[in-house]
Order: sequence, then structure tokens, then C-alpha cells
Amino acid sequence: MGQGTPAEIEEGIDLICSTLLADHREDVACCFGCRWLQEHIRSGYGTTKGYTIIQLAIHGDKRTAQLKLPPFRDLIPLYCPIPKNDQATWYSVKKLLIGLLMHDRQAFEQLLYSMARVDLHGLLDRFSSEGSFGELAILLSQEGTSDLITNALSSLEESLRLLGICLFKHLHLDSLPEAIVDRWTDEWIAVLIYQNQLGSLFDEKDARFLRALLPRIHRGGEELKSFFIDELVWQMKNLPGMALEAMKAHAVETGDTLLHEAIEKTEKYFNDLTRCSLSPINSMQVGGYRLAERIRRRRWSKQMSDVADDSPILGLVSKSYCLYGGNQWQTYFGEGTLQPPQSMSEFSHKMELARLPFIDPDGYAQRRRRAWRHINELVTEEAQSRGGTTE
Amino acid sequence: MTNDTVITFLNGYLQSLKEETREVKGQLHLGFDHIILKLAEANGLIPLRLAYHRGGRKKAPKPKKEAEYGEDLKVISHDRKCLTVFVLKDEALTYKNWLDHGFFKDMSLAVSQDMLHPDYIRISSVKVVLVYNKDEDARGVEAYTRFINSQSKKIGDSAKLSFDRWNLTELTKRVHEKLIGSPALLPEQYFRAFSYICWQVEECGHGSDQWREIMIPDWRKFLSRVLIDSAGEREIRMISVALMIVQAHGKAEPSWETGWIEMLEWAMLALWRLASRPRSKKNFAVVHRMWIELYLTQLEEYYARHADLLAIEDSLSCGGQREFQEAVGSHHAYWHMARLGILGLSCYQISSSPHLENTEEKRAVYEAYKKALNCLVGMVKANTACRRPMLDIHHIQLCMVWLLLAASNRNQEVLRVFGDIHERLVLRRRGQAGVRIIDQHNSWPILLEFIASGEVPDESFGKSSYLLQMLIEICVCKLGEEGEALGWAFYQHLIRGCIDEGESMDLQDEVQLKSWVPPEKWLDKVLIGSTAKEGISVSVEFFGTTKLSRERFGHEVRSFVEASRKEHPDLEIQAVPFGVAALACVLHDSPLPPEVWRSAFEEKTTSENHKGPPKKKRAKASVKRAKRKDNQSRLCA
Repeated sequence: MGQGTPAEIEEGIDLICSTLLADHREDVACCFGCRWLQEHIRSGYGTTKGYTIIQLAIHGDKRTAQLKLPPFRDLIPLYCPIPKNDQATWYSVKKLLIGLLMHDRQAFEQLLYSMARVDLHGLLDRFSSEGSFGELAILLSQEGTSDLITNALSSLEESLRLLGICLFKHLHLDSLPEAIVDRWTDEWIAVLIYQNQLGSLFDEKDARFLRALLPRIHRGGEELKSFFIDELVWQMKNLPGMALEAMKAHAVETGDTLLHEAIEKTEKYFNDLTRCSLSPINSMQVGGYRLAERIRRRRWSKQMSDVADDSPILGLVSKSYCLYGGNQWQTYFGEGTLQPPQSMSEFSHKMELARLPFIDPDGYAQRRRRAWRHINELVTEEAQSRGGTTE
Repeated sequence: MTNDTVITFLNGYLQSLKEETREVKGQLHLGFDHIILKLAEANGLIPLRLAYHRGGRKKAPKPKKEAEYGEDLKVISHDRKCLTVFVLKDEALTYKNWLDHGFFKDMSLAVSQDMLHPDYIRISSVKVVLVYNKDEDARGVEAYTRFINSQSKKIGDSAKLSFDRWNLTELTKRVHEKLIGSPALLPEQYFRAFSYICWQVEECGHGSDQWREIMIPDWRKFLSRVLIDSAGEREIRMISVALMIVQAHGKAEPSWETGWIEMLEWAMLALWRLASRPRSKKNFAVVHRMWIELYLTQLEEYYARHADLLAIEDSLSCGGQREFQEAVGSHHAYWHMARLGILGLSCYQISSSPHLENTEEKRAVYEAYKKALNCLVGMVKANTACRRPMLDIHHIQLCMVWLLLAASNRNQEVLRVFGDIHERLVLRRRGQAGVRIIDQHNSWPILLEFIASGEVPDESFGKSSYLLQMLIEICVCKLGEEGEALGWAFYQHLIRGCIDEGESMDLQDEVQLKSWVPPEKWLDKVLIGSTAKEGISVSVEFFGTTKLSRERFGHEVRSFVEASRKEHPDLEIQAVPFGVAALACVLHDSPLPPEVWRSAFEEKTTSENHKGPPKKKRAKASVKRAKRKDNQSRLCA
């Protein structure tokens, strides 16, 4: 059974997992099965494998502990990344993490970190999407997570830092423990800010993260302060609604001087732009713009209907018709009965799109590239000062 | 346009006119007779007698016969009580002319009105107005005064007789007051076409589809109708007046300011086409003056008004839907870069001309160059769109940025700008930012359609680049060691598609470097239209036969440049200032000849600036070669 085709190995995994789940197996068989799985589990197997492995970890790790074998949960990172749409496996991961959090905090951290190393985006997705890891997030908030997050943020590994930032944002934290934050150098704070730049587009949560660094920034050098202000200004220029308004409210609340300085700069930028809007320097039209705009609208509309067609629920509610009549409608389902007229109701959803990736997409990409380069440089320096090496 | 400028050009036009509009040996002589008629009409007077027979649509009017000379135009008031008789003269009012050129005779005829004529029954006053569009001297004015003093105060039984005299200044003032916004100021045969243009500028926004597809073609058609081969000073000056009328009609919205500049540019191009012909020295002088006093002055005034706005961050990227903002920003940025480049380089060229002896003027022009340069630098710093070339034709603007900065020994800034362009282009090519390609079709509609639909218009889309070839040549040949390193980066990353270590970046498309040899008589052609489809296309493969090597890259580029220049040495652009050639390239989306950047900053010569129109065809290539060297080094000496 040592070698075989991939299909045979997959079959072997299924067989061994189901065998190991049975309590009456002999210890020798259990040891052999455990070792075999560690040697053969790789990422990219069919979706059911992930579910089976996690079930094995949930139910079988008591036995591995008794036998002093490595726990089955160590197999999970070998299988990762878990496909995004594999809801059952992700559900099992959540269950497993919750169980570990309740009973074995160290094991929980280990599993979370090792999963972050191999499937960071999967984890970030789960924490970001409402309801997916909601229960786990609530439990984490109750249990206290500052040490977990600060450990992750202090890590030389990028994936852990990103996990730390993600947890901070999604666990609705407002601050970081001062004692630990004070231990970070100005350069390390800069690393975290650059790391934040590499994350998703800015929102209220990013503002919260930057605000949490504010007390430390005040105690930092002038260079750090200036860098922080530049970062805030960029974010506020990018999202004048979400970021600027949130910062303004916070600045009024706290009277923070750095925030005020950043807000002042941003407001000057927007006031200047208002002067330029529809001025003789930028009012000329571009040849072919109207036609291109019509093409874009058609393409967007087609994409929307394709998405609706692919989605069973959206497909039901988002059929497009062209109707006569005003703002009332009624239906006929046969048997001579016309349903009573109903008023059509409008619904809409607004969201703010970032400005700068559209105005200056290459500049935006440059910024990310530079952030990435600075992180590498600063983390290398930090690793040397800590006496280790980076990954 | 300031009032003083309008008056200056109006004055020049009126002065250039003949007394009457007519055809002489198939050539149209424009007269100011119809202007006086329009002036009278603008004052609510009714014509009784015209100086000419109307010519009908597109035909020149015919003057009346000799016997009727003297009383050129008679108009009457609405209540038919006041008669005005105009005596028109296209001569200076001097004592000699008073007798020799019929001033006295015509004035005498004008005061001898037959007051028994049925039309004059209710006339209570008669006014005789002497109008002349040339200078005067004291003795001429004295002769005129003596003449009017010798006349009776009455005419017929009871009508009061009075006199008036309009010299050029008075005539200009009245025309400026009453007619400057009216298409009627132009000769009648142009009225219909020109009125339509005036109507269109009231309706279309600059750059709109209607502007591009109807207005500009109509304007160009009008210009070529006026500026035929035999056109002279009068027609040239008429265009300046037409521009003033057009300006008065411009759409009341911010885009009109740039729209007006574009109309002016098309007019300047048509004028230069006329002026650059052999044996047109006088035309050349008039057009050159218009180029400086009208076009360059207009640009200077525009950028003096708006330099602060251009230096505001992202000021050129405020418009358009999100998906198109990067393209719209780039369009606006390169529009301004072209104009600032032309303004700056023209001022630089004028200020370094040995013909300009007045030190004050020299300093003023040099200041204008500095201002244009600072405005350009401010704009490039504040607007990232300036560092985002999207069409291959944007090489013209980048070349001018380099010429301007390098002329002030600011090569480090050039390297910074080009370095940033390189970084952005790499990110774009890798699909990490915005529009992936530089479009060599040089068409905004095609590019925008590509952005909107995501579909490439044809197989060749974005797969060759003259712009990158130019940047590599400039970097390697003109910017020292740092430049050579940047040139290599352009080549390695964007052409070979490899990272520094030589590993492939797996870019979606390959881009081929292209150079170009302009056709014979390039300047004559580019003043008429694009030369992009003429001349010789050159595919450039730097390491086609030799082994790729970073160390040999500079040598390869220099060898190519040398070989090209040896093979195709001729480029004559000395017939016009460089700014004109650059403007022609910008307006016609026609590439700039490589010789422009290759020969810039070569050894300095003491020869004069642009020579004016060639006197005769220079047959020998050797002469051409010598001239080319002179001319090119003058560009940025």
C-alpha cells in the first residue's frame, strides 16, 4: 500500500480514515494508519477528503493523545488550501477550532497559525464573510484575543501578521495592549502599516486598526509620525466617505493632533479638486467616450444578468422584463382569479468605491509594490536584530 | 484674447484691405467696402446704393463702373431724413494723394447730390464720410479740412450738410464696437460657411463627437477655401479676424477655452502651410508674427491663468466614469503637455535666436520659456496621468518634456520622470494596473472601446512601439550611464519581458520595437496630414545577430542610431519653427521624425534659426545634410 496511483491513494485515505474513526482498532494499526496518512496526504484531493480528515481530527485526537502520536489535526495543513466553495469542510474546521478554543488554547493557536501559513486567503475569507466564522469570532472575543493577535502581529512571518490584522479587524477590537505595542520599534509599526496597505480595500475596520496604533505613533519618532499622516491622508483621499468621515468623527472625539493634521491636508486636497472640477483644464471631452460608455453599460448589465442566471436564488428574483404600466402590478395564475394589485417597491444599496485605484491604477499598484519591498527590507532588519532569519 | 490683441489684429486686417472686393485676373482682392456697408447696417441705416453688385453664393462681388465712382455707398435712415454718403479710399490721406488718387474728386462728387431725387424728398441732413484704411499726414488732413470748410453748410434747399472722416484708427474702433462678433465682417462669399461654423461653436463642446466629426472638418474646409495657393496677406489677416469672431461665439462653458486653442491651432497650421511655400517671404513674415503674437501669446495667457490648477494633485483626473478615469486623465494630461511643450520650446528657440537683439525682449521671452517649463514640471509632478502614456503618439509629448528639461540641464528630472514611466509601464504590462497596452493606432475611440469591452480590436493591437524605441534611444544616447541603465531596463522588462535576472515575466503579448524613416518632403506633408502611413517602417531587433548582453546594449543602440542616420540623413524642418512641426504632428497624430531627438544637443552652431521658406529647391543632398545639422542643433542648443 506504500505506492499507488493517485486514485488508489485517495481510496486509501478514505479507507484508513474511516477505519481509524472506529475505536476498536488496535494501537499498532492506529500508529501505522497515522503515519501513512502523514506521508500521503497532499493538497488538491477531492473535496470529501478534507471533510473526512477534519472529522478524523475532531473524533480521533483523543486516541492519538493517548498513544502519544502526533494529532490528526496536524494533517489539516497538509490538505490545505481548502476549496473556497467547500462549505462542509469549512464548517468542520470551524467546529474543530471552536472545540480547541474551549479546551486547548495552545492547540487552537497552533492549528490557526499553521493553517494561516498554507491557506491564509481561505481563513481571511471565512473571517471576513458575515456568518461564516461568526460564532468562532464571538467566542474569540469572549475568551480574550489580545495575546493571540499581538503574537501574530509581532511575527516575522507575513501570513501571521496578515492573520493578526484580520483578527483585529473582525473581532471588533479598538486597541492593542500598550505594553506589547510599546515593545515594537518604529520600524515594526511601519511594517504593520505597510502590511495593512497590502490587505483589502480600506474600510471602517482599517480606520480602527490605524487608530489603535495612534497612541504608539505619538510616542514614535518624527519620521513615523509623518509616514502615518501620509498613510491616513492617502486612505482618506481614497475613501472620502468611509475613511475621512470616520476619522473626522474620531478627531472631534479625541482632539488628536495627528488626525487633525491629516484631515486638514485631505480637506485641502478635496477643496482644491472642487476648484478644478469642470474648469477649463479638464472639461474637454474625449473622442469615442460616449460610445465606450454605452458599451461598458451593456457589458455590465450582461455580466449582472449572467451572475443572476448562475445563482439559483438570484435567478428566481431577478428576472428582467420590460413591462407596461405604472408602479403597480398584479398577476394571474389561472382558475379565473386575478391577484389583487400590489405596489412595486424600490430597493437599493449604496456602497462607496475607492477612488484612487481608478484615477491612478498604476500608482496604486506601485504603492503596493513599494509596500511589499519595504516590508521585506524592514522584516529582514528586524530578523537580524532578533537574531533569526525570515521565511 | 485681450482687447488690445483684438484691436491690433483687426487693425492689421483692415489696413491690408483694398477699397473694393473684386476679382483681378482670377485672384480675389478683398476690399473694405462691404465692411462699411455692414457697419452702416449695424447702425440701423438702410442701403440706397451699394458700391458693388452682389456676387451670389460663393462668388466674388463685382464693382460698379467707373462713372459711378466717388459716392461708393449711400445709406439712409429709417425715417428717411438723414442721408449718409461714404467715400472709400485704400490710400493714405496725404496732400499728394488728395489730388493724385482722387480724394478731392470723389469728395466733390459726394457733396453734389441730386436732392430732387424722389428718394430724397424727406431728407433733412446729408453727411459725407471719408473713410480710408491707410495712414495720413498733416498736409493731407489740412487739404481735407480746407475742402470741408469751403463747402456750403446746406445742400439742396434746406438739407444740412456735414462731414466726417474715419481714419484707420477710427474705422478699427467702430468695427470693433459693432462688428467683431459678427460673421458679416468677413467677405460675403464666406458668410454662409462661416456663419455655420459660428453657430456650431455655440453648440458643440470641445472634443465632443459633433466637434470632431463636423465642426473641425468644416473649419478646416473653410480655412483651405480661404487660404488657396494664391492667397496673400489679406487672406492671412482675414483668418485672424475670423478667429476673433469665432471666439466671440464660443459656447459659454469651460471647455471652450481649450476648444478655442484647438481652432486656433488648425488655423495656424493652415497658415503655415501657405507660408512655408517657396517664394512667400511676405506671407511667412505675417504668419510668423501671428504665430508669436496670436498663438503663442494665447497659450501663454491660458497657462498663466490656469497654471495653479494644473499643479493641483489629480486635477486632470476628475472627469469621466470610474472605468475610464485613467484614460480620460491621460488624454487631458497629454493635451496640456503638448501645448506646454510647444510653448516652451518655441520661446526657448526665439530667446536663443541671434535675430533677437533686444536684450529686454530676449529676457522676456526667456522668462516665458521658464514659466512654461515650471508649469509643465508642476503639472507632471501633481498629475500621475502625465506619466501614463496610453497612445504611441504620446512620444511627441515625452520628447518635448525631455527637450525642455534637458535644455535647462535638468537631466536628473528627466531620469526620474522616465524611470517612473518605466515602472508604471511594467506594472501595466504585467496586468497589475490599468490598461495593459500602449495603443499604436493612436486612437482614443479604439482605446476607450477596448477598455469598455475588454476585446482587442485587432491582432496587432499594442504589439509594437515607437514610443519605447524613442525612450530607449534618448536614455542610451543622451542621458549618460544612468540613462543607459534605464534604457536597458526598458528593453529587458518591456521588450524582452524578463526580470533583471533574465527570468521571463510571462507577459501576455510581445512588443516589437519600431523605428521610422519619414518620407521625402516630410514637412510639407505633415502640415497637410498624417505621415504615419508614409516613409519606411523599421523593425528593430537589437540583438538580432549578436548574443544578448547588458554590456553591449548601449553599443547596439548607438550603432542602430548611427546606421539609420547614415542611411537616411535628410530631414528638412528649417522652413518653419520647430513648434510648428511639433504642432502638426500633434494635430495629425503623426510621428515625430527620430532625427528630432537624435540630433538634439549636438554641437552648437552659430547659424540663424529657422530660415523661412526655401527660395528654391536645394538639389544636393550634401547641402541638405549640412543644413540638417545646423537646424537640429538649433532646436535645443
